[in-house]
Amino acid sequence: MNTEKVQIPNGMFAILIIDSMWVIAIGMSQGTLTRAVGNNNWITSIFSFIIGIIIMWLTVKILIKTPGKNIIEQSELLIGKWPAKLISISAMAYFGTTFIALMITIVEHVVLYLLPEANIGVVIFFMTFVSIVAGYYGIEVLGRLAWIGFFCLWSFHLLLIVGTIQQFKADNFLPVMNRPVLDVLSASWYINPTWGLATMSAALILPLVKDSKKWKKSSLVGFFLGSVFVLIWPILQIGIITANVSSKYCVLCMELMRYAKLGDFFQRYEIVMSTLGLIVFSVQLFLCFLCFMHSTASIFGKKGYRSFLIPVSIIIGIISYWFCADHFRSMNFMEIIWPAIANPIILGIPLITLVLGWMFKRRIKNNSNISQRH
Amino acid sequence: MKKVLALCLIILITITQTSCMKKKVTEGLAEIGLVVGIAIDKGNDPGTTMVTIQVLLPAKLRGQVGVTQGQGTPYWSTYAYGSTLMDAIRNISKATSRRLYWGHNQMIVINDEYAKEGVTGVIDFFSRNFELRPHTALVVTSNAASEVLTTQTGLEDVPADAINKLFSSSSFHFMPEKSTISTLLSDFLSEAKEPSLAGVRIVENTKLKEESIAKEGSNEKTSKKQTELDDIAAFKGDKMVGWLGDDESKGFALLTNKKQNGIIYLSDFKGTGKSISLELTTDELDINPYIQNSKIRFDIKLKVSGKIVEAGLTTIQPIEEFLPQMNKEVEAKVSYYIQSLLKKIQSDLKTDIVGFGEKFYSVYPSEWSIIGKDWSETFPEIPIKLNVKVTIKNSYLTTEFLNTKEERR
Repeated sequence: MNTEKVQIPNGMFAILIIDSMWVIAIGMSQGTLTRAVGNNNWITSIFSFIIGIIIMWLTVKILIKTPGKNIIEQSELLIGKWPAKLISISAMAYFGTTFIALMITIVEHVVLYLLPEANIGVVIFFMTFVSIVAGYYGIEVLGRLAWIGFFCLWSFHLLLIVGTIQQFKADNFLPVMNRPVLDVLSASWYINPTWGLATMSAALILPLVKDSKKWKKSSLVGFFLGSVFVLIWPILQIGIITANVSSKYCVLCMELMRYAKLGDFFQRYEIVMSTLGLIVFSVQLFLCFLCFMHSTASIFGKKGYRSFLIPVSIIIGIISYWFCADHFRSMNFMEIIWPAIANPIILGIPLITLVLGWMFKRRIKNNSNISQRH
Repeated sequence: MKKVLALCLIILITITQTSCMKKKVTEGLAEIGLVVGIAIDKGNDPGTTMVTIQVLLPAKLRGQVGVTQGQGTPYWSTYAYGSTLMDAIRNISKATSRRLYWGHNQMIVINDEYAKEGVTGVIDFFSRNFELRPHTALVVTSNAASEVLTTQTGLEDVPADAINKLFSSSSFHFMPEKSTISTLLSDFLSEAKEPSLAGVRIVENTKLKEESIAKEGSNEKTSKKQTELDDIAAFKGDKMVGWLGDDESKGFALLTNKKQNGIIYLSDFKGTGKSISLELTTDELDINPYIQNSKIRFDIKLKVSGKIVEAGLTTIQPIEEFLPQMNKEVEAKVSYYIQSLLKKIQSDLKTDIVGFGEKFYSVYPSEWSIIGKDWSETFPEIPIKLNVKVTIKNSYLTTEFLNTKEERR
């Protein structure tokens, strides 16, 4: 991915995948889902993750054919340099819009719940700045941070479950499947982009993972565990807040966290959880930024992305600010624009590359023969 | 280069993450007013709202029992009028030198006359406020809400705290669970259930001498007035439609609060002129909807177990001989409470505060899509069959009733 070919362990990769699925999927997307399908949001989420795990499996299956190349490099091999730019542009569009979606997520959390008087510009500047730093240090340092994020995830969910389980009412799930099946399943459109970061990142960083024989295992285990961490949320949200109330809120995860209660003296308990969640959020943001930089660099045919860090960050930071500055504009982006851009890319790129790989089998075979000779 | 970047990062984190902007945290509690209670009444002019808040003065709070730390009351109350709730609260801030902080608010008291005109604004305002806890208690009163909020009780320093703590004993009196912002919002948004709120009222202990009502741990006297839990306020949509009576409130609690330890007494048991008190706990509660011949009906199955906690009669006969009669009489009383409730909400108030609609919707979602729109018209006509089963299982420490010398001979 970077000019220096660092290699990360398979476990670290799995942890990166777990961390990358979480932040938007538990709150903003669940709010949209409850508005679309009511108390069936957990069913939609499960369906979406089933699609996601298939896409992840496909991604590994595609990349394993050319272990040293990521999906962009493989498509260059298959269809040539210039047509492959389309894959790079699509990847850049996905990571760019996801970066904006993540910025909107953090700004909505900060402005609506944590520091309402905070300056949005300062928040975006700070998060973009630390993303540049993360981009400078690269995937290995990010992988280490992901481990911390993973332990934060466990602590976070433990605190959340302990604080809310007493209020859980199973009756809130009834009636199950009270909407047309097609509506419930098609609503996965809103949550697919969240696991897209895991599959799309895997498509770019898998060649940096040490043991290619274990790629499948680490990808699928990571994705499965990440899905479990996400699925806890719609279940608790419906069981505790109810679908009717959930559908009224933009940042549903914060609302659930506000319901958590540990005794009378632990006031604003959600702030403790938010602090833990911030680490995971940072991992997700940095990973997205890293992949965004890499796909941008690949459009210009560059191997390294460091020279792009500052100018591209300024552009994406300004665009993020434009969306975040208006709450209605940012909600429109999260509910309409982002899914419309992300869904075709996260589903299309692996499927197209799979078909291309099948059509141009010989090129892959020749490449592997050349690699073996070297 | 790495060191420079690391230094920049540390400086940035230090500046942005301290939360010390505008000196809020550095000057601490002296800068914010901790609101612990809010009362909402109708204003003097039509269409206006009167809001009373109670702000904690931590420096004047007493520490441990009996230790006086500060002088005077440890809270400060004020009120203001406004066209809306928010307007009134902003008007209060004209007279408050500190920024009002809502995170510690424990109690919202609404006057019933205000509630009868609709509480959408109240629900909306408090569900948008990120500082306020969703579990903040919300009650209705037939007294002036401002008076309830500012009535000093004997045991607690802060009236809002005193009202909130009343709910810790609600299950002892067949009272429902604490009504909160979250329960009100949930019921308000539900298509199949109407909201209900717990009530509080002011009572005057006229038989007590004023000097006997000292504040705990101090020599200060409190008023003879005390706040206590009242009956249930029933709503339809966002408007309060009436109060349940005492028996009806007990019936409501039996159908909605499974954590009961309420006392029921059998007066003139078996014609002895003596009373028996029993503590009841709910073992099983099932509310099942059925559709037969295109007609809806509900079956309520309630299983209750009882413990004898006080018996005024004396006899040498073993307790077991009395149990069938006791079971029967308790069953009749529990049934009466529930029947009273059903009659009240179906015939009089015509509002489904128990949530029969939710039960129906859970089992018959497709039928609900047809009748749900007219549920408020359909509900009063639905037959509800009640099946109460009481089993007295325990008599605590003793195995028999007390008996007199004559009876023993």
